[in-house]
Amino acid sequence: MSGIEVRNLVKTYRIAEREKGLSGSVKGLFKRHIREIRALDGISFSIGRGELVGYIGPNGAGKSTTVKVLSGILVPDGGRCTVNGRIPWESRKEHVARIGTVFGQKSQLWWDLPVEESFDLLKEIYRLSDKQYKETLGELTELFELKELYPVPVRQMSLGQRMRCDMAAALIHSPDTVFLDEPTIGLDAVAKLTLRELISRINREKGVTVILTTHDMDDVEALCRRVMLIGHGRILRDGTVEDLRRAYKDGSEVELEEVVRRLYREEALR
Amino acid sequence: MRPYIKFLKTRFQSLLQYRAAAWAGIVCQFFWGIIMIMALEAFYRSSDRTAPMELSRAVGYIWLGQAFLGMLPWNIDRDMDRMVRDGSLCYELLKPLDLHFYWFLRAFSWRFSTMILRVIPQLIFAALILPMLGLGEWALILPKNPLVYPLWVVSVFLALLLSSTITTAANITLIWSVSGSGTSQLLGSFVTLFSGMVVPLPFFPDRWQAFLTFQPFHGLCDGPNRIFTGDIPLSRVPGEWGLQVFWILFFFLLGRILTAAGQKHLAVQGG
Repeated sequence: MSGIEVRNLVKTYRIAEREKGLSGSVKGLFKRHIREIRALDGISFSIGRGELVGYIGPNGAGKSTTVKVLSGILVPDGGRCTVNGRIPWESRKEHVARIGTVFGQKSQLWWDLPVEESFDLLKEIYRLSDKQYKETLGELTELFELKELYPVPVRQMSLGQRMRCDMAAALIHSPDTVFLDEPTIGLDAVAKLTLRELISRINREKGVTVILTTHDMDDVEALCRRVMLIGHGRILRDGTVEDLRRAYKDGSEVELEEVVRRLYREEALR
Repeated sequence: MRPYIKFLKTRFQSLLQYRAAAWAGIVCQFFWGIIMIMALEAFYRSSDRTAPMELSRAVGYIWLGQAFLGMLPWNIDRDMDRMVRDGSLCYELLKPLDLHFYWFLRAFSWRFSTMILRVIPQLIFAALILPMLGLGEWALILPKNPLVYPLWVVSVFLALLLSSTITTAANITLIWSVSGSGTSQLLGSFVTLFSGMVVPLPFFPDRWQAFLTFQPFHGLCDGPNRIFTGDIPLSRVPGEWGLQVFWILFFFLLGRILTAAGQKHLAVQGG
């Protein structure tokens, strides 16, 4: 089976709550209230190979949880899912060797070392041959304009530079699927444009399947033909950007951001 | 093994830049060593009972303890702690590696690099500079029998492995506790007391001695130090190694079990 297949995925977090104040803290020592939060409440979708899909929804909607299940970090409580035929959490090592992941708020690069060292280490971690590594790194270097960044320790990079390096690090082993979790967060307008261009090129030229979660509707409009809107752990809408616009029809031309907001409010009331 | 070796190299490179911290530590440990030796000397002078160890050996014991302080598993890896808190731990899970062995190497490189930065200046100070300053009685006396050195080096290496397996197991508890400070404090007090860093273990009451020899922290510091000073005769060295190897295997397996359990438990929180 090709692409990503998700059927009825369920994930519940257990959160220990306690009352406020000192007395609450003391009570909490003896008795804890466990509240269950359904982060994913039966999610289903399928994504074909080589698609670029936007995955949007407010904070706490379940976006990152989905990405974490798909990338094999989290084990779901129910449901099935396969990524290019692999069940992520059952064959973690095999699976993660074939995917790339970027979390916009985190970095996998070595803070104190020149970024080249991080790449060299990844070469070994993914067991790439010298030839493979040279080829892919050459391509990525050109595409991401990394040459002059090689000797720079990551801690001295700007966010935009670091993001380009993190993207390259996620692609160095030529993954078949890439998860981008808010990659444009905190970037300035120019850096955002560059990054979008890069994402689109990777998808087009290398045929990599991309799932992009973001809060930036400009990202979605610039990049994605298809959008999935998630809220309260469920998929609320799945279709093209135009579908999404059409779903909210009052004749007027409104920003996508506004459409999503209204849709979301409607669904929440239902 | 290639990924693991490369990881080890990269991590050394990253850790060896904490040179200023190392120098600060060294200066602090010179003074600490001297204070401990002065206390010990006073204790030897005022007591008329025979001490369990000659003064010169006790002095050597203390200097070696100070020199190898950086190797003791007395705390939790701050990098790991940060990764659990800010969630970058998920990048660790996204690597196609054996997690436990990878984390073991992380601990090993950390303990080794903290140790190696400090140990040589410390030993030079204790063995060579102190006698030159006319403080020969407070100096570390080097063994005359050349055979001691290789046997001691092996036992130091085993101590390093033991320290790394203990550190790994302790680091993994972060998965459940989120903050490492509790484990760090608990571990710190046990390790410093039972490795002989506070008071050399032979100074504890006689009926404790059997327990003290067989508990895991003896092999971190007390064992290797007494091999060097000659307090443990060479014939007993293989037995000492055996004890160390036993505890290394014990904590290595414990770490593997904890990692497997932790991976199941792990729920990386995030919006």
